[in-house]
Amino acid sequence: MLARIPTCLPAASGLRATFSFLSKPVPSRPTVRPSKQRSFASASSPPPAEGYMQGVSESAFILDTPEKTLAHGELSDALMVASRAETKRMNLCQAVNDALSTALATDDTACIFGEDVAFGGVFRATVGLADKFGRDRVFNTPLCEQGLVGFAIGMAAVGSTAIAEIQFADYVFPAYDQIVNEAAKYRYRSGNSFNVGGLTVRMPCSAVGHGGHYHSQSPEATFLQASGVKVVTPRSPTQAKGLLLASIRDRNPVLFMEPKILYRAAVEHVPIEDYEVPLSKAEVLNEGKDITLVGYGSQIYVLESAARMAEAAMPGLSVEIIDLRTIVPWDEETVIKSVMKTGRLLVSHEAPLTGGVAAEVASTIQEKCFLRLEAPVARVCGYDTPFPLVFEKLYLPNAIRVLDKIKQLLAY
Amino acid sequence: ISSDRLVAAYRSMLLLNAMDSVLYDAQRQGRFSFYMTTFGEEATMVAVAEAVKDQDVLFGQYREQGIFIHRGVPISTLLHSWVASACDNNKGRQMPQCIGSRAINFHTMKASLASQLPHAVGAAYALKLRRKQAAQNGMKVEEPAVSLVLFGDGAASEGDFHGAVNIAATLKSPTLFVCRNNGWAISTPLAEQYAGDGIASRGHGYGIPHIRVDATDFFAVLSAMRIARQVALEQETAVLVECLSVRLGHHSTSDDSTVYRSKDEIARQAKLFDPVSRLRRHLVSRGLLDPVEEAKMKESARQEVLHALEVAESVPKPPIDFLFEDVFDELNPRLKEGMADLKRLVDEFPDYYEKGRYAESAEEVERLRSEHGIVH
Repeated sequence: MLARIPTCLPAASGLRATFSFLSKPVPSRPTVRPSKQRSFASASSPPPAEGYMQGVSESAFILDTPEKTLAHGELSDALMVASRAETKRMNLCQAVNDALSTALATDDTACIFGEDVAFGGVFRATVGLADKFGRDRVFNTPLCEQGLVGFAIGMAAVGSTAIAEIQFADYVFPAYDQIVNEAAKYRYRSGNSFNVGGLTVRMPCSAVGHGGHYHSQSPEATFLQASGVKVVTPRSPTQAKGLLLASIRDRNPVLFMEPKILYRAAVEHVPIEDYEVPLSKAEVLNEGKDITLVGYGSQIYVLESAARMAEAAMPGLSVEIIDLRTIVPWDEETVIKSVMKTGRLLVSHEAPLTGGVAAEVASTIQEKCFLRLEAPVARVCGYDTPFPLVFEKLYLPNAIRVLDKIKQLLAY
Repeated sequence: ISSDRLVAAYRSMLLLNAMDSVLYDAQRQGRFSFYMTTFGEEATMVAVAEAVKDQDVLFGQYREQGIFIHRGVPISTLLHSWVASACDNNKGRQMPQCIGSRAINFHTMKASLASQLPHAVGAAYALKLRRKQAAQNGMKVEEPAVSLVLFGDGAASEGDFHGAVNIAATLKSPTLFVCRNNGWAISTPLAEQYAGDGIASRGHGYGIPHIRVDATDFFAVLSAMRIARQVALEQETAVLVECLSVRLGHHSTSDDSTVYRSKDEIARQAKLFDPVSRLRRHLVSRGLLDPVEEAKMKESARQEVLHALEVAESVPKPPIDFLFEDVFDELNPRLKEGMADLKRLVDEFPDYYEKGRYAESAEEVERLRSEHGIVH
């Protein structure tokens, strides 16, 4: 049996740790190359398959008590009787499971299918559903993304609700033709004779700590031009449940991208009843007057981290953070309103810089808020390379890069 | 096959088993991110490696490290890839398992499924065309080569399988399609993967020769592969070989297969469908293997892997420049801008970015690769 190797560099963890090294001087001695460096994991165990994002549980945006959840305006509006609504602690994966269960319980035509979905899925998002609803409604398909998405389109075309799962967003591309050429155009090309409104395609996305090229991608921008498909992404369990139910019930095909690193890391008190959260409506997570940060998914916590560091370094500064939630069609109005107030905008996502969602948002805002802008719109994104394994920490648009850019915008 | 080569084949299987066992445990202890074992498929790997010629072009899925071992790629080279050290042929960019090697003509693998099948078809066609042109022009004709592509029972359901096999058949591309049918695609059993008669029977539909082999039998796979190769070249055709085995381990270190199959079932199958013990019994019966010898082989294999792991872990990671290079053949202004920006931040926050972890230059990498005897 291998002996345990106890030494490793401590990983930078949480908002406090990230902030603390900034407040002490940079050491002058060169960093020693450790001889038993752990590449990826914590001191004593392998990385969980779904990764683990530090700092999420400390986020001010996480609704970790029933009171916080029920005080959330949009959520309490969505609930039957907010004051009596019951909540349960769920992580993002469990919230997805709960939404799926609710969808199948309220719609007999609804089916869930994909690779390895029956036993619960590789991330356990579909655990228990096959037992609960039967193998003719929750089932495995053969290993074929183009086939299973096409199949889903067919079900939706005759009015059923089809909830397909792509195992990793990195593997959506064989189904790209079905999504772009078929699902997106079904209503339009038939003069509204037919549609596939009942189609939803779920997929885990984004960085996970050790995913490399094919388990880390954020492909949302590759669907911006499909014209007919919506793209939605949750930052938390309460959002995941509400947005997924809204996506499934929306009368348009929707791609639902779940940041896999949040599956276990994000835990909230989620209302147990059936509720939805609106699509194409961005959410202002905290108000500020000096600069607007726009993002979505797991990147929200990076923005929050950078905002806290900026506010601590520059007393009096207040930062406004917006979660787009729906990436296409996105809520321009909310972002414009914010930038008209602050005059500065920074957009951030893991996906590469060129032609990403930030490019779309930046173009729109420079067009609509030109005279109000105090500085150019900034984009802090992944580099224009495939997602590199060992360089993940260097590649990602982390809080340091966001903070660096915030300072540049404020000093412009 | 000579006794020497036979014993060498067995030795490769032991080395593969040792690497699988050591590295699976090492992953569990957090020493690197991910691993996939190959228990149950050792004979397929080694027999395929034994049957191919140097000039054949190889493509794989992600469970083919056994071929690298038997084709002579040192364990040390593989381990550097696994821990993504500065000596990694992939320059630290990809997950473990996604290895490749110019030396053995094995194109670098990736995690996506079946997309390598049409690649193999094109490669074989290109080489066939070049041989034809060389012959016509009176120039030196390269040794006849096939391309050989491995994939699993699950991957055979992908659209690329259809595209590749049909194109190979119609364009007469000498491609060997080798399907590793190990009974499982993560949790999906064969009954949910296809309703037809396995993968081999599809060859009939596409009009190419096809064969199904018991892949727990090293000799069966070796014969089938040699004949397939010969047929492919002589008849200018693709050939489909289905190798039947059982995936005795989990899908990967991210999977616990006892969730969807019973421990008893796995144990029972390990006894019945283990290619290594089958070859072992044969070797012992022919007096080619001595138990004391074998115990020494196993222990030295284990030590070799352990040592290679420690050495690979002690080497720095690739230099930061490698993040930006090779997107295209040359850097462009946007990539250069990104590189400059990142380096500025790394210099400003060396602790956060663990600057000392990375090698400093391509020159240092060359020196390390040479020092560690890396096979490209």
